[in-house]
Amino acid sequence: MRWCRFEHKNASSFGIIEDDKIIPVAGSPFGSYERLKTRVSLARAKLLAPVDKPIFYATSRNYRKNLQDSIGRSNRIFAMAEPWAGYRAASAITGPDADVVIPSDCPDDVYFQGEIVVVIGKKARHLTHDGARDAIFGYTIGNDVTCDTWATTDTRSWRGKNVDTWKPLGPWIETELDVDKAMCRVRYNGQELVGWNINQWYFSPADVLVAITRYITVNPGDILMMGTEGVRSPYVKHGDQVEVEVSGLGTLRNRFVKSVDWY
Amino acid sequence: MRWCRFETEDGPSFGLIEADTIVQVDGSPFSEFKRMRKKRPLKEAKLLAPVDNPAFYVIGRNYIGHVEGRARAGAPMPPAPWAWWRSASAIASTDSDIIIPADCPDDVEYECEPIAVIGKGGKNFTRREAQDAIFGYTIGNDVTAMSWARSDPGPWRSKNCDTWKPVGPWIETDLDVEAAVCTVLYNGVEQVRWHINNWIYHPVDVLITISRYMTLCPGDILMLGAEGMSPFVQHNDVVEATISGLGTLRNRFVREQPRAQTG
Repeated sequence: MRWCRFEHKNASSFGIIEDDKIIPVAGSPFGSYERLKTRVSLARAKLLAPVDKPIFYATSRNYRKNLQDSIGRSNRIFAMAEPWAGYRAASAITGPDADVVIPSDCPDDVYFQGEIVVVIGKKARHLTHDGARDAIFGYTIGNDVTCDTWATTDTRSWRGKNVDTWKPLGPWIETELDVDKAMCRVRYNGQELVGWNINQWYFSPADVLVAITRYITVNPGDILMMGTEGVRSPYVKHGDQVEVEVSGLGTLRNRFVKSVDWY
Repeated sequence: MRWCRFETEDGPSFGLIEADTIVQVDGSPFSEFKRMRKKRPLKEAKLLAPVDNPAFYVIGRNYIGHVEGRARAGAPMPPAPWAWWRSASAIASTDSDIIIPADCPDDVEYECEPIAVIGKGGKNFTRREAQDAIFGYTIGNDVTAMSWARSDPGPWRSKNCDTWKPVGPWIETDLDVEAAVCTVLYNGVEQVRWHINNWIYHPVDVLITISRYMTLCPGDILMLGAEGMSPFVQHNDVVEATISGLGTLRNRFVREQPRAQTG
């Protein structure tokens, strides 16, 4: 099934995508829901990020070329022996086709990272590997926008990765993704930068969920970014467009805009 | 006014504390609310954390004794107001047990802190807007596992294990911040006492900085830092943080037994 969230009658609503239509639902795929009778054209809908205020986990250093590139850039980065997760702020989430806004005081070294995102479907703690696979509701696409200077020089990572709009997600959640066949491709102003089979991770979603739930309860609607592949992207400029496409998950497309706030 | 959240037969509810009675409220202090006829004695209520799925900001190292203590262990003083996150999934209530996972090393510390609760959201706050944004104050405890904090790339299990962020017992909207003193008792013995307004960075300064990059929402919380240093806690230890006007946040530490591995 394909699930999305979209603007509907001055509010947001979850919906099921069937062919070129959205069937709005009352409720949510993470609780109970009921299909409504109306139909909305997918092409005309304003899609939002397909999750609502999740706990937002993220792992990194999870694909070979990206890990090698990161190690080459910083002696603070090393390969992880065990799966782990960090966090991203839910306040930073934005939707497909929304602008990624760079604050006026941000240094000129913002880069992007296309990633596969796991969406969790069960409340769970102390998951086994089999249980972890069952706890996965589906997948969507994410972009882990980062300011290099802030991420490396701030005492702790906060604005470096979590400025408003810096975590685009979407366009929809696919519950039946074949992860062994899915490819992710990242395009920058129309040029492909990198493509990879998403299952070439060091730690699978089940590995990371087992690690997280050793200590922390996950809940339906929580999400987990799985890391990116390839050498670091170029630093973006005002007007640049990035597309992250995953077979079966559509394309997450966003434009970068440099803010001109006076302060 | 004193706001709390507590268990009812129909699930969690907000309430107003008047003398030793809770007046149940329909709605929340962060949007619309209506007083109901239902009342119950404060003593008989099961209090929950007085906030619901907030964005949970924290400023670390904001009181000089604690800064000096951490500096002796090698941590530098951050140069400007900055902010960090904790996960809402870790929030617990007063009188709940703080559960230390079986595989956690024996170096868990408490950090009792005042918390500013945000009542008005926004972005790019002016000084006056940041002052008006503060709804009230409550108490928190930023329980931390020190070796995990050093070994992990970022704070996940070191700060965000289930139950590791007790908050409460209530929110006071009319706190006399200039007079408020925080006292921390560990197994009944006073460890540290300080005026909460002896902060290095005032909450207004921190909110101005955060709102520069992230939109703040009503109900979000900002932990303001701890004073002094904590010993490593043991099974059955009790920590109590009292702030004049905010009551006492009391929690017991419990070491989890190793689980039998299955699957």
